[in-house]
Amino acid sequence: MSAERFSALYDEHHTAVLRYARRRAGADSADDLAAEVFVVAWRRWPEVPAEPLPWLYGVARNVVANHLRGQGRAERLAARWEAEPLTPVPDVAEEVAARDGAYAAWARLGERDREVLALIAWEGLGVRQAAESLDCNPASFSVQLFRARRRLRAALNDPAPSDADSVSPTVLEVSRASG
Amino acid sequence: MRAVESVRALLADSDPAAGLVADPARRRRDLRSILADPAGGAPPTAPTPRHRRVLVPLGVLATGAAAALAFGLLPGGTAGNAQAATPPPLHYQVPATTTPAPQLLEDIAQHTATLSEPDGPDTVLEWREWNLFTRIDGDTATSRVVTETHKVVLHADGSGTDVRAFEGEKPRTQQLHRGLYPDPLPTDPAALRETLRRSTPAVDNPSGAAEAIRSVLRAQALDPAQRAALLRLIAAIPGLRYDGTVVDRAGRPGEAFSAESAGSGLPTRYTFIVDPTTGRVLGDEAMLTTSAGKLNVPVPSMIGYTAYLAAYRK
Repeated sequence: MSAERFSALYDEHHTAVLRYARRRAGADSADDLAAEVFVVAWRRWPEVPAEPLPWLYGVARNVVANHLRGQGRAERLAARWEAEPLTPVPDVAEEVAARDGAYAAWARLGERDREVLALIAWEGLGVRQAAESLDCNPASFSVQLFRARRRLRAALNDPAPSDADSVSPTVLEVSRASG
Repeated sequence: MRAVESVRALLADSDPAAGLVADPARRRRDLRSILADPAGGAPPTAPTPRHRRVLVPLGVLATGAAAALAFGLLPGGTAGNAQAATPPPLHYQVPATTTPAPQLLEDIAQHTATLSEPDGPDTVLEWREWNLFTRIDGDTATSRVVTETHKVVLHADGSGTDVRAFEGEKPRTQQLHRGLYPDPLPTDPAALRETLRRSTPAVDNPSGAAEAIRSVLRAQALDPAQRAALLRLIAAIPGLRYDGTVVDRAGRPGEAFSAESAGSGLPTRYTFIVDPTTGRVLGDEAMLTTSAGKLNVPVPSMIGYTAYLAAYRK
């Protein structure tokens, strides 16, 4: 019975978890990371809540972080990003250029800002769910979201990287891989 | 929340994983490996409901012209004479493709038709829906919202049970008999259309197609070939457009397709959310676009929603 229910959960949420991993760790390792998230979910099956997706994203966040730390990939990915800027697809060049501008702005933010923004914009969570995923309360999350949005807007208005410490190699790799 | 909406607007076109789907073979292989792990699968704890909502009595079934608009509604049950609260629209990631909606659905249908799934004599269907019941007395409209869940088990002889639970009430089991679609549905799209037309003559327009599809998904667990045919039926809805990717109200990602018509009495947009990896219709939505008529709801306003949570044979 557990296997059936887990399979249903897997079917329902695999794509969401895969996309989460792709956004943060690039195309090369997204499949492996998604699988690892579900390994954790299977082993911690009794803990999986009735609304599993925010919980799965919480697991995914740790899995991705461990992966990047363990592999020491951050620096290499950053170097690749710097060496290989995005090349817009010709027939949708304008759209891609605008998209890449937003990517780049997002990529210049700090890790927490990026996570807060991505959970809302790309994972499509509401404030309560996103707060649950980050294990904080909704009020605190709302404040973080407000501040992250302000910094994103500032980054959009200033395309030049101005805060070297906040550059995210992980996100840069995601951007590059998707361009 | 304004911050949520503005953040989504800022980053809507920037999702590096938009449209990403897993390789089906890899996905199945991973699942098998995970389930083979003996360290997993301990019995789950019983889920507890997160929100207890107001139960609305059913003595207010719609009458009059708006009766046809007694759609499902919103996950935040409300009651009373004030304007009924309706759920917020879903957030659609703007499509990054110019491929026409019918072609996108055809692609999903072709993939779906190649799938294989377990068969069995019994059918299990689960869905959750939100119902708006409206009573119109002269110039006074009273709209109330009811959330309900269904778990249906159908046997080969057409008998079965429907465990139906209104929110806040104990589930009640209802015996089922042979229903609207007792026989397996055709896998040929034209034949499927004619089958649906017998019970839903307006199947060729968006409102009729939506009604027919809602009926089918509450009556049968479609196999992959039947799902492919259903997707092709949706693809042929006049004016169908692709709305992009979306996370549905049950937290599942899917691709959204919609079309508009006033076939039910008021201008309404009908949306179908499709899982591109399985070809399943995950949910359907109905939204008033320009006028609520006498319904006591704002415009635009979600007026119906169903989340199809499970449909399989065993």
